[in-house]
Amino acid sequence: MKNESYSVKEMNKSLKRLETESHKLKKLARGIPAVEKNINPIIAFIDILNFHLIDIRS
Amino acid sequence: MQDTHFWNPFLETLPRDDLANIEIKKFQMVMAIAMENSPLYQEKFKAAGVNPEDINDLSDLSKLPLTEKDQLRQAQEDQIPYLYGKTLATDATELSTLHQTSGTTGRPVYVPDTYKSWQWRIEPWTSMLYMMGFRETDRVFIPFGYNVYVAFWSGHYAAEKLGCEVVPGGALDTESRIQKIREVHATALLNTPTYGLHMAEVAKEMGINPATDLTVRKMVCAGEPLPEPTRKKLEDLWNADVYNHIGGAETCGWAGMCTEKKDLHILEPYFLVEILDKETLSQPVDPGEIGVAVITPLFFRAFPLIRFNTKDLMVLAKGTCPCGRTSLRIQRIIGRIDDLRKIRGVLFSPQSVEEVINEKFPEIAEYEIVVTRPSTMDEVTLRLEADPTIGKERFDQLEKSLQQNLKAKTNLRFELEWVKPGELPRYTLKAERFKDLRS
Repeated sequence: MKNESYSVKEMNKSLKRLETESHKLKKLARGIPAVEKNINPIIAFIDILNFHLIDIRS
Repeated sequence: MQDTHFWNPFLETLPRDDLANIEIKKFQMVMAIAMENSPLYQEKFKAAGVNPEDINDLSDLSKLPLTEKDQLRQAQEDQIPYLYGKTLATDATELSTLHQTSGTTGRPVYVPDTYKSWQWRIEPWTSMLYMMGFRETDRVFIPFGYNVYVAFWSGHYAAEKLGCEVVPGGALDTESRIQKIREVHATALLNTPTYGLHMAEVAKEMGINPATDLTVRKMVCAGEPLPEPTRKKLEDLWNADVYNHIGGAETCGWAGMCTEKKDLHILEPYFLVEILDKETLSQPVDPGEIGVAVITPLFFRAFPLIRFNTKDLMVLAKGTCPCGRTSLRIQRIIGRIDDLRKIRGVLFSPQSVEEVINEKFPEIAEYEIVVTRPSTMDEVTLRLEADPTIGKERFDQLEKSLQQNLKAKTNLRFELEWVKPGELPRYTLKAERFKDLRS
């Protein structure tokens, strides 16, 4: 892409961190539905972000 | 935010070979998930003797059987768990949404979604709306009675995700919807083609010209076929860019127009689409030739769908699109195989009548085709409503010209029957303008 102002490498690194942390939070939150249930949408969107970024470049 | 006309610049401009590689990898993945979790596909793959590692390129796809709608029905009917039976590939406690097919061709198919799979259904729709030019500045009005059918739910959430302001226009009558469109200054609509025409008709009766008195400048049509003459008629009536899209309750929306408004881009690599020869359904056809669309959504997990036979006849476009996207494109939708009828030995598609009427006869407000066999011969009657303001002279011309154009397009002779304005039904979804009353 011309004129790209983003770094794919940095985006992928950041997304990996987000994925690891969100799964970690879900495990830590067992017994607190307010956290467990609210982390699910984040994990769903991480799956979509993986499709848009990491899956394409791997 | 810097505006680009690509939702994902990487995906949408990938070379064809790279796209095909991604699609094959994702196909293997969805196949493996289906094999592990879906009783329906466990049976199908076992019977075919095929494993995910046997699918290494597009030519290997023919090793797998197609999935027919009847198979989905049978796999759900009287099976456990209730409603979804052998089609469900996830723990039922994970489910968050139920939709179903319209049931026009038999028992409906129930389509389950988890929160995650529902977000996945919305994603291709979001990329499609972006491709059509929807942006944060749009106020999108959806004049549709939202219900158990999936139609427009995905569009609603996709527009919301894009940052558009969505105005749900559910339980309102047509006049109230038009007033609401005017009141909120809606800039875009999502509706069926039939309802887009009907709203324009009602607006006219209310003394409102949609082209000049309303602010709608984009319209996405879904739920019914949209022949090119109808699309152009809607553009003229609304002074808006009208976009076609292809999708279904089972598959989700899988193709749509870009702002070139010519062909429909297949939403790759969310979907792997095959256009197969209609006689044997075994060989891909070349661009320019008529074939049947067979779809595999590559992100489905709760309800895997592998090589689903849509029974829709289509033609792939040749060449490339000036928009820069590298996806395959549908140049023309011919109609459903199920809708094709033999009348007096001639193969007839009801869509051909819509094409004639909307291309050349703007004076015709509504129509209905009725086929009967009173004795030994089939008879085709075209019941018509004309614009009440046209004079006798034009009316006689209209009859003659309509007969000639219909004969040229379909090779059939139609009996014309004029009915009073408002006598024929108006539809919001799945217009039923073709009635085959032969026993």
